[in-house]
Amino acid sequence: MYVASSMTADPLCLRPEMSLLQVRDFISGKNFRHFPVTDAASRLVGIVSDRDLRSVFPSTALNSSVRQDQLARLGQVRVDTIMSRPAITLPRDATLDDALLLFDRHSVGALPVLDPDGRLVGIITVRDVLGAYRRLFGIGAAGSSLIEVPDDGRPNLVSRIAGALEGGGFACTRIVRADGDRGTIYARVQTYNIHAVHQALRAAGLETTHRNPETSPHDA
Amino acid sequence: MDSLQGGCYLPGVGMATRKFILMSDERTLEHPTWGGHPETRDRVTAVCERLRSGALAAALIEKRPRSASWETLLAAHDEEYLLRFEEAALSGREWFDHRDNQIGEASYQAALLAAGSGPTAVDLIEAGLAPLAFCVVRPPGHHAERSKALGFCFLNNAVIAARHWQRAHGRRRVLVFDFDAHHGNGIQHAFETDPDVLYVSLHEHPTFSFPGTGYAEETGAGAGIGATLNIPLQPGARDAAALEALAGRIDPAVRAFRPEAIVVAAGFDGHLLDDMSGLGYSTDLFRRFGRAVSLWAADLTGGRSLTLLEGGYHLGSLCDGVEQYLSGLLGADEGRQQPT
Repeated sequence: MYVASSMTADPLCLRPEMSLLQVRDFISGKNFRHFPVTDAASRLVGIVSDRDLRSVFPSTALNSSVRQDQLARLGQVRVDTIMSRPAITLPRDATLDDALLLFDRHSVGALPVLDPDGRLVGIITVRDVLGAYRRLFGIGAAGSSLIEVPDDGRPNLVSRIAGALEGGGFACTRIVRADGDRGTIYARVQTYNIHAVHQALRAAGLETTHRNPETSPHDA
Repeated sequence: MDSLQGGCYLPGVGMATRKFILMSDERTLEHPTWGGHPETRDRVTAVCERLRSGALAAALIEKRPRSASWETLLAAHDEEYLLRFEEAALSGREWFDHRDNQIGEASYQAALLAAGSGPTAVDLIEAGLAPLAFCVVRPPGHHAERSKALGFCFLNNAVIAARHWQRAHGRRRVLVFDFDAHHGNGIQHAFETDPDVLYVSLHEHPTFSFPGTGYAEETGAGAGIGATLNIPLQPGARDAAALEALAGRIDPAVRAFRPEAIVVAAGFDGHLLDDMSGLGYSTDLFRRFGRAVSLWAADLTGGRSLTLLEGGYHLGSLCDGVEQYLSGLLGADEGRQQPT
């Protein structure tokens, strides 16, 4: 659940004094979109995205001589003049939820991760967070089914569901109580034997919402 | 697509000359399950009894399978996995890789017979005995991965059959059509980089349904990109949604692919009465699936198709579904000549 396990550690960094042409050559062929800018002590001073860089480089549609003039000028421009600062950052002990909330609040694609002294230790992207939650929830992994139990507000409902599943020998990877979703509790179970899961839940006094409303689990 | 839409077909009428190979073996009944497990021996017994006594009885050519050879098994599974499976069965283990996958001493041999059914039937088809074969096999196969048993499946019968068709008979381009209510993860993973096998699966949406794979965005990998077609249906989907997918997406994809052979992973658990999925298919939809396969075979593969039983756990709807599927498979030509 921590960003440290999903971030790219020791990412490629730029120095503030690098010219934009030096930066272009440095990142050429490297499959990254966000580059932290650090000082000699590895402390973060800003961040630059490939989009920032594209916006300052001359269009290839320009007249060749004009384009060459503009490129030559970029050789005199330091990267710290176009970087974003202060960058929005995360501490090393931040959770994936911390990252998710920051991405949701700010229009950024990556967050540098810092140690307590402000030194850069990694960078985490939106894609990293998506992948981490995908793995956490087992999305796309073979072997599970979703069970839905109506949430009628009874006490201890989640623990009763968990107990019934565990008592029936079914591995359960997550139980989600979805507020506002018509009062439903979702349980992800690692089994194909849905018939037996329904039986175990019914034996515990719990009704399941069968996904086909015209089919009762009792029928088969 | 009119040809897929038409035709009210009455079993037994107008197909006296059409025969199909029925592949089954009572030794597969010795694969044990217990404690209310849905994948029971009664499934195979009930289907065979229905076919032998029902409207299609005169069309049967009954055959028994040989056990799958080591060579054909290795086309779908790692040697270490096969040895591990055999050892688990013979050593008295009660399940293999997951508690869902109950086993007994006879399970390995039963699985070998199920896996050998496809290759045996393919050889008979190619020898000219009949162009169509239906294998009433258990344990089922389409969830079995290369080195992992999953979802009551141990050996991937469809993968083994398709590879045998390619390697033993030179039918390079093979369609695998899977209409089980659950995505056939094992088939997809076996062929996802292979442009010569088109895997088409129509199933309940993986967000809800086992095994949690088969999203529409899974379209193959590497050289096989575009040779996987997953069509997830929403829970509660009825015939109309399936027929729309069949006519609008699957039929064009199959015809563009131009297969030389067809393997069908036939699951009947999408039926309204089967509580192993949330789909709401009618029995008649399975006749439509059979009819579609028959038309593809007639137009593209010289009539050749092989069907392997996968899921289907409500005995009544399973037997009805199989019978209707085979009626569609055998009757498509008549339906085309006499549209109703």
